[in-house]
Amino acid sequence: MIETTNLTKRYGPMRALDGLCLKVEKGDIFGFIGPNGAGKTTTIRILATLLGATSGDALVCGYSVRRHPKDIRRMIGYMPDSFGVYEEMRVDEYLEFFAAAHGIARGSRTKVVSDILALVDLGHKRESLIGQLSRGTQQRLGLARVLLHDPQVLLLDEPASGLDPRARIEIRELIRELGRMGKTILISSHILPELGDLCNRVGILERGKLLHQGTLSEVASRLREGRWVQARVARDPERAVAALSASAEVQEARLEGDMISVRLRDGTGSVAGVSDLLVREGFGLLHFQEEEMDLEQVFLRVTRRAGTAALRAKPPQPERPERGS
Amino acid sequence: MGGLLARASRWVMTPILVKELRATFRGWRFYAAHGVVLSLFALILLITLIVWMTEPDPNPSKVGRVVFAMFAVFQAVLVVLVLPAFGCTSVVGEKERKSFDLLLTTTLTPAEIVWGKFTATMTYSCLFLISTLPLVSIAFLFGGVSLVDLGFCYAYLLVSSVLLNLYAVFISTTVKTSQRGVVICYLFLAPLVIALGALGVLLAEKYLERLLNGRAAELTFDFENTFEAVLRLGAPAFLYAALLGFFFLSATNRLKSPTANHSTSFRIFYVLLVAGAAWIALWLMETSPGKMAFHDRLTLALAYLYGIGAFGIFSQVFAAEEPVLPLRLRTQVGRMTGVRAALRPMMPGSVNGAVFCVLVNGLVLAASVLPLWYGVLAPESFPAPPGVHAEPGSAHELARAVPFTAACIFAFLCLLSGAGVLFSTMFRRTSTAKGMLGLLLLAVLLVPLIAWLVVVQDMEDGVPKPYGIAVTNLPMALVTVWFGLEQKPIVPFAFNLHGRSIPYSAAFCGAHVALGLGLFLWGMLRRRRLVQRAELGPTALAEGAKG
Amino acid sequence: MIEIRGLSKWYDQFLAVNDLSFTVKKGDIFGFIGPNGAGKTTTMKVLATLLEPSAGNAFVAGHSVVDDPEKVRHVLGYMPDYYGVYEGLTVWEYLDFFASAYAIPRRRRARILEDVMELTDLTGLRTRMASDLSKGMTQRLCLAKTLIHDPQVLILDEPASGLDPRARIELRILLRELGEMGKTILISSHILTELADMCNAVAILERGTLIASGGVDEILRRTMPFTTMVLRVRAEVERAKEVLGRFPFVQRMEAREREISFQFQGEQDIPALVKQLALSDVPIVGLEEQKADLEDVFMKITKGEVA
Repeated sequence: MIETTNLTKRYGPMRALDGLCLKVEKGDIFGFIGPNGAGKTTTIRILATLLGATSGDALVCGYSVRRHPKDIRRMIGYMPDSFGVYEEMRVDEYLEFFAAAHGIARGSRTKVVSDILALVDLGHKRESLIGQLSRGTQQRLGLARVLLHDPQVLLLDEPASGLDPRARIEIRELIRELGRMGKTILISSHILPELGDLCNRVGILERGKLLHQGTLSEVASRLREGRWVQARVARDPERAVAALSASAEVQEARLEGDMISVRLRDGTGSVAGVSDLLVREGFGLLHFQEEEMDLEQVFLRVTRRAGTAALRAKPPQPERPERGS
Repeated sequence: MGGLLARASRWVMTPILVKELRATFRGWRFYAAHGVVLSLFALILLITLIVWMTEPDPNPSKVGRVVFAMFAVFQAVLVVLVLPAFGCTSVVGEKERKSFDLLLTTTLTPAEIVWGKFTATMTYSCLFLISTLPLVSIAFLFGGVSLVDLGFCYAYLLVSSVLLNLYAVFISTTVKTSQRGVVICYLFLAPLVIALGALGVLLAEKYLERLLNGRAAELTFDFENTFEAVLRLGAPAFLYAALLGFFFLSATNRLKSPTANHSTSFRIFYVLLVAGAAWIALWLMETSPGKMAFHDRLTLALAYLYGIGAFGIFSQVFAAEEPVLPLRLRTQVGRMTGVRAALRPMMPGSVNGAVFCVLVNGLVLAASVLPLWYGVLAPESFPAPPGVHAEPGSAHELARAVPFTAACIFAFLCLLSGAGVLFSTMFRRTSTAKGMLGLLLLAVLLVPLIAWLVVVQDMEDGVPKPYGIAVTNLPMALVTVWFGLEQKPIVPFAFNLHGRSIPYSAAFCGAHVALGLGLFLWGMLRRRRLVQRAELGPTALAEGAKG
Repeated sequence: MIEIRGLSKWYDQFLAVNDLSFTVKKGDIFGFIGPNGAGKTTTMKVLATLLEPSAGNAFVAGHSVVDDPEKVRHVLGYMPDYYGVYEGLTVWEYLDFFASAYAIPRRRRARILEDVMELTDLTGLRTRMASDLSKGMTQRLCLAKTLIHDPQVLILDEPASGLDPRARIELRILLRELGEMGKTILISSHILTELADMCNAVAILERGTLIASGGVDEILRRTMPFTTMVLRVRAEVERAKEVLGRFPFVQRMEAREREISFQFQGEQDIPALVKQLALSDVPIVGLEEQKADLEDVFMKITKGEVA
């Protein structure tokens, strides 16, 4: 749905974006993360056809941002991180104005506005003045505005910025709902725990370069070689570790605090086998989960190694002494 | 010892001063402004010089004096019009930049903050004044002026800039935006400048006369006698100190946290003011050469009393503070020790504070009236021998004006005090209470005055009849005194009560005091009820405060 | 360390804080949660002695904010959510100004400034202009200024607002360090996930009223008494369900594809249940206790009405 090819944006000698190759599939909820000044807003604005690239191109819904910006604007909805509102207008007037701006026929405007208000759950506020709404409600209204022309792709720059906890949760629910409706959504945010919950794929940007994109498990596995499982047992953790290390399914097992980290042998190891072993040997299984790195850990690891090309190339085969036998 | 020195140096090189110096001299703006001012100054002096030099038969010393005068004028313009601009945005600028809260949460006291801002602006002023000093050498090339003239000029400029800078800092604590700060600062600058000008003239009348007539002037404070010294030096110095004190205390008050004591400093200031003014008035009367005319002395004494009355009104306003919740009052007042414990009655919101104000006013008025009365009457005619009836227009009769006026003012202040205590329980906000007090003041002053003007038609022998005139008013008292000065019978009004003749003065004072006491008691009752309600919870308190 | 007793604050007709009472123990990292306009900033300003309470009192390290504001300012460091920095000063000069404002004697000043800059990672920025800093660096500068007089109590209003992910994580690490140094920290934030990670106690405010306060675990236990367990199997879903059904403490079983979630109360013998599953040849690929988090608690106990 969104594909950029060597997208570059230069401001004088400074490269805001450097050869970006981004790919977002249809139906993805794609999280776009990076430090301040990494180029996230620049990328989004280029995709929204508000900014021109220095070189390279981007395809949105098959249309090029260089050659067919008008077509793109019909298919996308862009919500910037800060937007002004017309304080003296009513909610329904505001939406009708934007519906008209999008070229929706006069006859269907009212229905569209009502539908959208129902979708974002603002129906009860349709006659309120915008200036009197809370910040969270105004953000929801902003989201409603970008949905009016039923775009296939949504570009949301910090949609929850400044919102209180309840409003954040509600916006997240709304975005999830939109994802279920089949829309492709690109979200940029600083709050990683929320993104990790919401997105199925992420892209990590630093200093104009895309360090990684893919699902969380993809990057986790690239950072930490192999499949790992975390387990907690009720009795004799040390003996459990020894038993696991001796097993054919296990490459390596170690005790970290009260948690046992087990690396499965590539190819032959199975998760079920490990759990089976722990249970049958009577260690008393309390917790058993395949390790998933959370987005914050991923981000820290990835951006720390940003200088090297470590993640571009295939992960090197570890030089490990063979175990067992 | 080191600790003491360190703490002392903190008041010279204040943290705020250090910060401002660092920030200002890093940028280019200050240097640019300074450069522009210096160039302009030099240009003006040069032009003056050239203009005068091309005159036919130029007298060198005259040229020198003219250049010097130009120099002095430019400096004065600088001090009066340009330099306050630094100060009038000093505090409000911090508020706008939202860095003020950070300053308030440090351990800097409000006094230290005000003093710090003041020293910063004074440093800029001194910088400008000193850096333009070399330009005066042009005048010295020609003579006609001496170093003494220069010294006097600079002393005067320094004195003026101290007052104006403190005033600017005070203004910056009262306004909400920088724009308003600048406007209000310059708006009210005029009266201050006029006062300063008058001060300068007073101090050096003879000196200026000599200077303008082209004679070499020696600056000596050659006052002929003590009277002149007090009049020309003492009184203006006292007023100057009073203004400085007022600006500093007000500015500090505005920066204090809402729960801090705002009025003790002002109450002490008021007492000192009254005492100082009384002392000066007395000195003037005592030392006046050739004995001041009786009427002049009387006028001076009355002027003093009216002035003190006006200030007294101001101090009474602090009785109209918010009612204090019991917990706060008890803990705050109860923990005071030493000198502060002695000041307990002056604590804000405490009932004692209102009472104390009234008592202080009464005592001070009484204490200052006696010597004034003494000063008004020649020693030989004081006190009036018993049984001697005071003839209308006689010295005795007129001299009664002094205690009479004092009593009227005291009674009036009682009324205000009582009303203040009552109003503090009626309104949620202190400003509303104080505003209502102001309205009461106006009503009590103006309404009877208007009524009297209406009735002024009804006169008998040029003396207005008192019919239908409310007894309770201060202008009435003023008017009767004025009549007395005009050799008309003073306080002639009396009315019959069960066959006894009661002068209106007594009725006037009595009514005011009674009314004041009544309002005070009413306020006390309301206060008690509010305190009880406060212990029930905030909603009850809010409802109580509304009605 | 911080005690708030019956605190109320009126702004004209608007009741911003209504009879608030809670305690923060020494060494707590205490989270302050609530929608906008709930009264968090007002309460923090009262504690910082910038506002006067309409009723009630607040005590910091035993000193009353109403009666002894000067003593409170000695032990308290306040970082507001909006603030300005002075132009024309370097980072070091900015901190030096506040050091002298806090009356730190000149001898000790250099040392303290170095320590504080190191703690907030500003050492490399000492000659940079304070007004030239990015948002993240400015937050660190303000935090440094708050720490200069070594206060025992820190009150931080949205310290992470506007920070990028790395800066947020670093801030959390720094705050945890400060907590370990024995400081008591009261922090307000909208990001519940971060607070849950960092704080050991919270207070939840809505419309000026306290809805819940206390230790995080305690509140979770109180509001969500049930523990949810998620079991993932590779096959034999029906058999797994049948085994689970044999245990009486298992409640509200829900199966979705190969994931079965169930709830129970209190401490139960999970290993025994797992053993039964294994003996019944159920291949287990995942067993996880789904911790109720602060967000669930928040949604449950607040009504969502914003002032």
